[in-house]
Amino acid sequence: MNKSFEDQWKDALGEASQTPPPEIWDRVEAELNRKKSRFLLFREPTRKKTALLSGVAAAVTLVLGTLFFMHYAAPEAQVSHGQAHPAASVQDSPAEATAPVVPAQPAETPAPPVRLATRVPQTTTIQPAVQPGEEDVHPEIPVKEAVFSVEPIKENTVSAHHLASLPFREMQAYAPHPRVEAPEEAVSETRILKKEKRGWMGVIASNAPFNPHFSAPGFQQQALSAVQNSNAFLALGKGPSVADRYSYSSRTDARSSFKPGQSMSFGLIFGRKLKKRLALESGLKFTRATTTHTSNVYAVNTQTGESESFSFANYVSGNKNMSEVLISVNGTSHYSYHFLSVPLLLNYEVLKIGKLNMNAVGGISSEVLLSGTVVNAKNNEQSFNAGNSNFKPVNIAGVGGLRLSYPVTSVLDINLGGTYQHFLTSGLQKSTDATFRPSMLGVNLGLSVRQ
Amino acid sequence: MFNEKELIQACKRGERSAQKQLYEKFAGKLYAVSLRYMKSKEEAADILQEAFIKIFGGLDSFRFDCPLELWLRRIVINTALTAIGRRKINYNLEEYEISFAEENLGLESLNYQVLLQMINNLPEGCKTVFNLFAIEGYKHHEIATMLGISEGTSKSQFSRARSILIEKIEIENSKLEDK
Repeated sequence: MNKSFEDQWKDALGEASQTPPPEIWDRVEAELNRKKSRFLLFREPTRKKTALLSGVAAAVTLVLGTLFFMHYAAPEAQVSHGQAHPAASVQDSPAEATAPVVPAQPAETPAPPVRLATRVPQTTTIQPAVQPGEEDVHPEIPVKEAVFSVEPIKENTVSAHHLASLPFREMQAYAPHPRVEAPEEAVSETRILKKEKRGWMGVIASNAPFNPHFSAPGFQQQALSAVQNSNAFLALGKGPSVADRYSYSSRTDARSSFKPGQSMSFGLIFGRKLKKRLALESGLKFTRATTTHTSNVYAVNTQTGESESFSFANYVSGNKNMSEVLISVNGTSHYSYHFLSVPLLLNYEVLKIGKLNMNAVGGISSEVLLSGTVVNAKNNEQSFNAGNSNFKPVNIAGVGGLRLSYPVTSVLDINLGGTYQHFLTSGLQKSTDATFRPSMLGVNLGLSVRQ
Repeated sequence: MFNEKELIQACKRGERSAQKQLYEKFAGKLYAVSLRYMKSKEEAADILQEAFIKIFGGLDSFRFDCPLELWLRRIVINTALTAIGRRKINYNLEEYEISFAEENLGLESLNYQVLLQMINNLPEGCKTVFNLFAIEGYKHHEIATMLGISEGTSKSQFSRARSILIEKIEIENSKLEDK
């Protein structure tokens, strides 16, 4: 009986040998020497585990540090502090007090204080060998009732027991000799050698403290100047005594500070490998961030008598009607910002041991301000966006971090990482002398499907 | 001299003499594999070099659960396929399925260089599919996944390769008969 077309070729060429050019070994050796002198992290296979542990420790430290930062460290972004004037007639309430009280009684008639704001078996599972750089292309191969027919070539015969421990393809490729056939139903279950995945897409969610890094170097001067030139009590229709007016207008302890809040992000990511270790990543992400503003300087609307933070009126809304300014007790305002981000990141595989990947991620992100709200001390909510405030519509942020990826199936990865993001440009127009360059250092968790 | 297991262990420790011994033991067969996939000897040599770098870098993952030669061979094949994949070969081919009766091709009368030349003269897509199916023994659905093509395309490519090769073998055999 004639052999099949394939078997005839396999017999003719399967075991062929050709002498390679002599310089190949020299090139291999030179490359091995070059690799050996590389950065410590990649130097020795035995050190890879140590390096991976170091990497994991770094990622864990990053995550724990972030959690610590989120829960215990809440430094206030102090804009300006003045010296409390010794003649100040208003006793500042503690920082958590949110109800600044202004004594607005007429000079001669004592009256109760007016509140400006209130707030508060038969299956043989064959484990394939993993080869360098191609680990993900050899998933587990379950073969049911594999049938072996071994041609009687004694010098190349392997035991069925040994064959059973071989990956399915290797049994096939055990040229020229043992031939393995799997039944059709096994074939359908067989996950086979796959082409390397070049891209991925997935979802990501992040949580991070949000520090607005709001800075207004001229705040103190502008606030005091506005106070001096104001008659806020008249604007309120409640003229204070001459003494009170003097004491209010002569205070110099203008304060404004931002306390970091939280940010939550979620979105889609897409990636594409450029080289073996290097990939380009982008996506679309929605972020909601909050922060708390505390200030004792208020701008009063001369028409309605409503008040709001001088900082918001001066730097954000640019509200011209808020022309009268006074210093009182601390009040808090709660800001929230909504951003749509389009990141453009380079993703470099730092380490890969077994199935676990560690990637360094870095790049830029376009941050589009969708909208924002501020709830002031009187519980009044105002919305703002790039069209009706001094906020810029788009900003650029720098992004960097580490990410661990683990394949839970042949195509699905779970990702955990820590990312730091900082606005490279100010979120406020240049016409204001304030800057808003928020930062977020947080953890992110995601799932991605390799394609 | 090391036995195979000792040789692998010594290579894992980075002993250069062992690495050279491993290279000398297998380079010939692996170069022959590479020659079947690549267009030229230069390309085949590059693949061999790249594969050995991978081999020495990845020996830690060799678990002695298959013959070493198979493991090495697979690395060479995958390295070659990665290189071929960069060329963006068009595998699309109209349905091309011809059944042939099994017959003795007379390959034994042709020398290695002639056979290699026949394979290398095949269109790129045909050549890759032919090598994977006929010589490496992969199934069409496996090849389809490896190359990112359909199973039908793999079959069509192989049928075309077989048709071309049979024709060339006949020509070569007739030349021999004329002599």
